[in-house]
Amino acid sequence: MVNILTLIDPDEYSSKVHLVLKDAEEISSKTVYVSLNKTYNSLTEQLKDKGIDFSKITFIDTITATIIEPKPIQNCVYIESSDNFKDLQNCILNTVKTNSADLLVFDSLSSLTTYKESDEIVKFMKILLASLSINGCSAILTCLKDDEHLPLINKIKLLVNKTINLG
Amino acid sequence: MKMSKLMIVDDNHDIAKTLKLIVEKQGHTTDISHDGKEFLSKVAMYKPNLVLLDVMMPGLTTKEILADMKQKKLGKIKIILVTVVRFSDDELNLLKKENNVVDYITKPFDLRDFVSRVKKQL
Repeated sequence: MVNILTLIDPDEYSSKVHLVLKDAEEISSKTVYVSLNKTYNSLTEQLKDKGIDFSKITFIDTITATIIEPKPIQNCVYIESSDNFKDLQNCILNTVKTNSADLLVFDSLSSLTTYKESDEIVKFMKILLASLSINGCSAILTCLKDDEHLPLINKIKLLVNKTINLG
Repeated sequence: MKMSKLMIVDDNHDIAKTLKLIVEKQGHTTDISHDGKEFLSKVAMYKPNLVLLDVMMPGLTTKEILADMKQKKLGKIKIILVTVVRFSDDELNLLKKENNVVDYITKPFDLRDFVSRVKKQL
């Protein structure tokens, strides 16, 4: 299993995440995408506009249900507990197992800092990546490349196989 | 110029202070809360003309905050969501229809655009 940390410039964030998802469609047979900062509807509208196929992606949307009552959609799981790491982890692992996913895209570490301190995030990621590995699933973690997130980035780098600077 | 009262709700202290500076420079008075619980404990007393509400905060969700306001008969208070979260047009329309969400400003925002959109609601 390969775990990759991708660092993205805040000004190019959306377009680079789209590229990550485009690559995910090509390299993985089934992807689970965790969104902590975009609703499912908003994200899939953007992907449609960019002509990116998302038929092999199952989404975990941690935003919509915190704001409105979401309409059930087959390829999306809604949760409203991104500040509860145990629930988030269970949801991710269940979705990965149910869909036999071989790739998780986690968007993003930066958003997690809204809810938790970096040490807690590192601990959560360490457990999550180990559990994914047991289930045959690789991971791409996205993070904003800025000074604010540098301490977290430096710690997460130690957990992954590779760090890619997406500009 | 008419002076208004605004409540700023954002868990990021730097952003909250920045919004406060911008809004007070326009001649309005402000109150800052850093989570939904703190905001709800003050909103009935403060009686704001407008609330600038962040969406991703620890503690109460936006849905819980809006529901509590409705329950306390404060659902008429105008709310602008100021957030990094991206919504679809349908979701935004639903928020506007079911709550008194009058606008949605994405972070990072353009200062002049922010000032003009706040002014429009006062």
